[in-house]
Amino acid sequence: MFLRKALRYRWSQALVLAGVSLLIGTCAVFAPWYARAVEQTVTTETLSAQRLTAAWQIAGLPRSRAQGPGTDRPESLDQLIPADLKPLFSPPVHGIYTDIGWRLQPADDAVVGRLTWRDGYCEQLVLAEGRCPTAPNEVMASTADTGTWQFKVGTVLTGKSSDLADGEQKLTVVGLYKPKQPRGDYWFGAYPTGHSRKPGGKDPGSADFLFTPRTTFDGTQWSPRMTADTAPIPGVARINDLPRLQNATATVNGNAVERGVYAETTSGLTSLVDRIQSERKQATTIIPLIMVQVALFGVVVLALALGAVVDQRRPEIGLARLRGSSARRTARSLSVELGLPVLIGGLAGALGGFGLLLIVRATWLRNGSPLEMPWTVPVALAVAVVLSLIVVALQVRGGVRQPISSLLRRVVPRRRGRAIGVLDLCVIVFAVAGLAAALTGDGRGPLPVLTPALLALAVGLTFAHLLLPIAGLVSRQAARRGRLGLALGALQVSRRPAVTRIVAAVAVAGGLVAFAGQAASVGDHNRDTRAGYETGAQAVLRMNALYLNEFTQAVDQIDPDRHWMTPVVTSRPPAPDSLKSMMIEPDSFRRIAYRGDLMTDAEGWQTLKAPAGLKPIEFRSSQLTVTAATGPMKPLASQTPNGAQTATEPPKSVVLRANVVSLRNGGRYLVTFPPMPLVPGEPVELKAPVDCLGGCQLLRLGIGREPLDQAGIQGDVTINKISSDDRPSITIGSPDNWQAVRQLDSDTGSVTAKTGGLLTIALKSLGNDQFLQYATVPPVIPALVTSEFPFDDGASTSPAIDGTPLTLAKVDRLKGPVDRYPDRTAVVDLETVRRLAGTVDEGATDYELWLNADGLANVDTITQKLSQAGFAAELVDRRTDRIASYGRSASALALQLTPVVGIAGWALALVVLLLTVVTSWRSRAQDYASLRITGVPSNTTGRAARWEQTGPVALAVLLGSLCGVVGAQIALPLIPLFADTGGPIPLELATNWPVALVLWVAGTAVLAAATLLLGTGVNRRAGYSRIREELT
Amino acid sequence: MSGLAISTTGLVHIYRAHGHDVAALSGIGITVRPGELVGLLGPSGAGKSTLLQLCGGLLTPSAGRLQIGEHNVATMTEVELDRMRAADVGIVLQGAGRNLIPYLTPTDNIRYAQRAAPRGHELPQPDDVLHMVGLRDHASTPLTSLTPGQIQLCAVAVGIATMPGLLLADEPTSQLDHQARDEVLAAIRTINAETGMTVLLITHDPEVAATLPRTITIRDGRIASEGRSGEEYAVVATDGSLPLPPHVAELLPAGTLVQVTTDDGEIRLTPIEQEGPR
Repeated sequence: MFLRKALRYRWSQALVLAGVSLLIGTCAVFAPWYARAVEQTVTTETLSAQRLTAAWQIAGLPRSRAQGPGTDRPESLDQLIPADLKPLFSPPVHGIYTDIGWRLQPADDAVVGRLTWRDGYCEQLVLAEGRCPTAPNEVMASTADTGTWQFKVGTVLTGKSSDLADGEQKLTVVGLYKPKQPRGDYWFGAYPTGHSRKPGGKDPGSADFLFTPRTTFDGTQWSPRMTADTAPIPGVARINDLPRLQNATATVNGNAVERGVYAETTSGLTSLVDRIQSERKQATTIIPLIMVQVALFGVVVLALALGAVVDQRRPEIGLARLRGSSARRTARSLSVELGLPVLIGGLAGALGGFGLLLIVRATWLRNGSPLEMPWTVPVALAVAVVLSLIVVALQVRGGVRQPISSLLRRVVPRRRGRAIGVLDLCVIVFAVAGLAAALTGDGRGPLPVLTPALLALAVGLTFAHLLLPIAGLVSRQAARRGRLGLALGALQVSRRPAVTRIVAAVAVAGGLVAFAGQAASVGDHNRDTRAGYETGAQAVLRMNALYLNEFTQAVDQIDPDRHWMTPVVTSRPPAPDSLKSMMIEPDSFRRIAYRGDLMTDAEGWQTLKAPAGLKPIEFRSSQLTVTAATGPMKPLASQTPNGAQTATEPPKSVVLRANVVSLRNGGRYLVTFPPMPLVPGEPVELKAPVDCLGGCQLLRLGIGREPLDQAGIQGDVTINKISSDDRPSITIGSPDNWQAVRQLDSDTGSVTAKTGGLLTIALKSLGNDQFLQYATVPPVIPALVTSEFPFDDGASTSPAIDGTPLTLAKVDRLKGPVDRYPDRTAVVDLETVRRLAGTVDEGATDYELWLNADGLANVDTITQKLSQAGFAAELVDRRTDRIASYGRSASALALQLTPVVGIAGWALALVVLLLTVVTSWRSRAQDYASLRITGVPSNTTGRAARWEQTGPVALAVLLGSLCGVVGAQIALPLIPLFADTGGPIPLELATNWPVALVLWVAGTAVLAAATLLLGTGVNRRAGYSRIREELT
Repeated sequence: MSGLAISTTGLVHIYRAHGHDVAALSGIGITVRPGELVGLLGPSGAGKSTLLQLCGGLLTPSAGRLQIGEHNVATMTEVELDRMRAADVGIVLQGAGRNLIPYLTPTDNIRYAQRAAPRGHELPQPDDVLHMVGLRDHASTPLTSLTPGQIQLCAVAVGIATMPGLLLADEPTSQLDHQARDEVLAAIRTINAETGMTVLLITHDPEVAATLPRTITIRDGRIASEGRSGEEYAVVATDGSLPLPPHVAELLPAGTLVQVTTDDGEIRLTPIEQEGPR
């Protein structure tokens, strides 16, 4: 009967209680809702962004190679998609293709190209000329080929399958095409290459795809392959479908065998699902932890608010008891009065959470998740509401259980002494225990992540309880010094335990905000950093070079001063657990690569560089002539592994060899001179043909043996003269400039350079070739080796551009992660490798140009110039794309909540402030009014009123902010910022002091402004009439 | 309901304040008959309010016996005390506003006070109660629109909302002008006369005290004197002690040896001269 009137009378309090409960309810339901939505969004976006990885590319093998019945129709591959999963997959795109060699004229070299048909290919191509083929053996050629081959409508090609099939077929060009979307989803990676070049040198040339009707393959001997490409549909395949998809992907090939379909399915869906699952863990770890902190703070604030509200109702409770209401009945009726707004607020929080979800779904999540109701939402709501109502019951119980005589007193009886309340003590102990667990434990479990809030709570409460006696002390000292305003303000603090509530709440708010700021900024920073390291620079162009020299020359032509880019060449080893070579230009790399200058120190960079100051030995000739003589030779007996000496024939000769590097194509060739008979002291002239009319560099000189003359030998070979067509005498420098090429097996002999003649080679041979290398290239290449690789000095190698092993000397000065290739990488100098030369192993070598921001801005110009130089370059990676991609990770989406936490934290702190003022302003105003009657000037009471709360609040903000920063240091390592560990790329979790400072200043300004305004308001109401008030 | 008798014997109440025990009442023995209107007088801190709160079951006696009607207050549980206040004892606290819920009208305040009355207890209509104190016309007037005197009357009406057998009123006439004071006093007299309700009220006002048929003066936690029909009497306590009236006590400083003699029904107190310092 009186409930409505009671609520109407104190509507603002009801509103505050409902508001705080609404926040709690919102946090409670939003956390699971948002976590679920993030999971769905990550699933949708991952399937969308990595469609090709997620796709099932089912390929039937050609009939001739099939061990089973083979596959005649691509549609027959559809049966490999389980029926229950078909709705989740896009309609398969069927295709037939065969690689053929075709020629325009019978005398031409065959050009390798692909003849293909795909479902609806005509709709995916733009006709430049002619029409879409309709009849068998009609083809549509790429416009990329028109310039190379002068294709036009009506051109006839003669094609032959490269699959060993017999017979040739005439193909008539009836149209010329360009793809509508060169890398569109339709192609599932099998898109027209756009490349076309005539054969030349070792280049077999290439041609773009030829499209033809399906009927071209009917009854031919092309041995075509059938394909069916499909992918899970983003937005249809949801999080709950992932296990089934993963399981089906793992078993599809096995099922194919069982069904007698000889086909293979290629898909990265299994690992993709694993990745999504690990991202799910991030979402379900971070989001609840963040929101639970806010919700718990909300509960604390609710408890504080209810404490103040119940305190204000003491007279009414006393009256109810006075009129005979039992404590239980009084508690019940008060619980209903206070619980109703709390209940309504909590339930409204469900709507608030849903509304918030709709907003973030439409903005942050870009509608990537369906609207659904996970079971966790009602459970969380129920927990939040029940928890809130328990807080109501506890606070009411505490108020009602006081003696009636105490309830009826006008002045609240103070507890004796300064004893800390049991509840406060429990909270402090709990918080400290949590902190201790975080610091001493293994960091598992949610407790350490709650550290910022717990720490702030413990410190805030402790500070609050110390504040009262300290304020009393300050008050007395200020009074003695005649500073009345400060004395009064401090006195008011010391006699109002309610200040403890404000201080504790503000400290927690400060802690939460500081933590939120750190989490957001540190997360952001790490995403940027990792994106930078993973990309390597602002962007990366990959190109199709065949020769290292051509590549470096093209780069030199486009950007000789390396303002825009730095070239990086990588050579992959055949074994995945071996070292790869990453060849860089140290000077430009330092400037262009992401944090390139931090990879090593100045000494490291210097060590890495190729030797300078020594001119290469160059000549142009078709023949090399060497005059040399052997010295006295001593036979060497080789030993078996058990130490026994093997009996061999006496040595007969030695063979002088040389390594020359072609300046024309960068190839490294072995030059072998005729064998030298072992006649001591008698010079012989040796001639050997070389392909060096375009210029060569002499890199190595060495001694080999004839195949049938492997007996051990020790002695000197003196080279007296080397000459070529263009140079009657080639200077090869002092013996110091010739160093032995290190042998991987130390028992195979040795070679050293000595003075004598032009050069004397001191040899100890057990049959193998022994070489001396000219000092333009060090015999052991200095390399920065990634630290996780178990480097074995003298044994570890990485491939050169021709795939031969580079003997490495580890420069132990790697100071940071290696950009882009952080694992199993040896960073070597590109110039050194270029001097070493070799025929490029195309399959294992990648040419990249790493661009800085200016380079990226001019990427079109660079690409165009590269194209003019004959290179097809493609922008394969951009840092901004990776940042954006990380920005869509579960971790980033979860940490986007941190500003919400900050706002909620300050909002709750303001609520506490307002509530405290609302419930205490009358008595404060009465106090100040009384002081004015005694002659204290109004500006003094004003100062006291303003600073009464401002001082403690400002201190609490400072303490809370510090706790947040310290707590962040403990909690952040436990927050999974990335789905994978990132290997050697370190997490940078250092405190972001500017952010901490800004938030502290902002928080102090906001709350201090609020307390100053409220204090001014209280002082304004401290009129004489206030003293006469009785009705509350 | 007819009035309830009050009977106390050796009633003691001790407060604990600042680590010390303070005896607010030191062996009070009074008897109030049903339907009596009794004023409690005495200086501040004498123990009047403590006695009133003990009678209302708001405090528990430290020692002694306190009987309200059939209730032995000293031995009652919390629930029993609640029931007693819900039906048998009405209390008007000092400060009219403290007796009222500020957002309720007089009628609603009375209803609020009737909420805890046990089933079967005959409750008067709020209008009748308000009529009894002369506030019928203000049954639905917000409290903020009432005069201080009307608010006090409203507080009295709330005190008798359940027609209890005993009304305890703590300075119901303080802070009121003469007219309002007389109105409140008249209302209390009317209640006492019409319902037979026992009334125990505290007052500092000699004019009010003079109009009451019986007054009890408490000093230092003891009964100092009792007034009946304008005459002041000393009261012999159960232990035989007799508090002296102030004007006599001034003549007999503490420690004075007094010779007590009787002569033809008169009792004579004769101080004896002593030699040397006492």
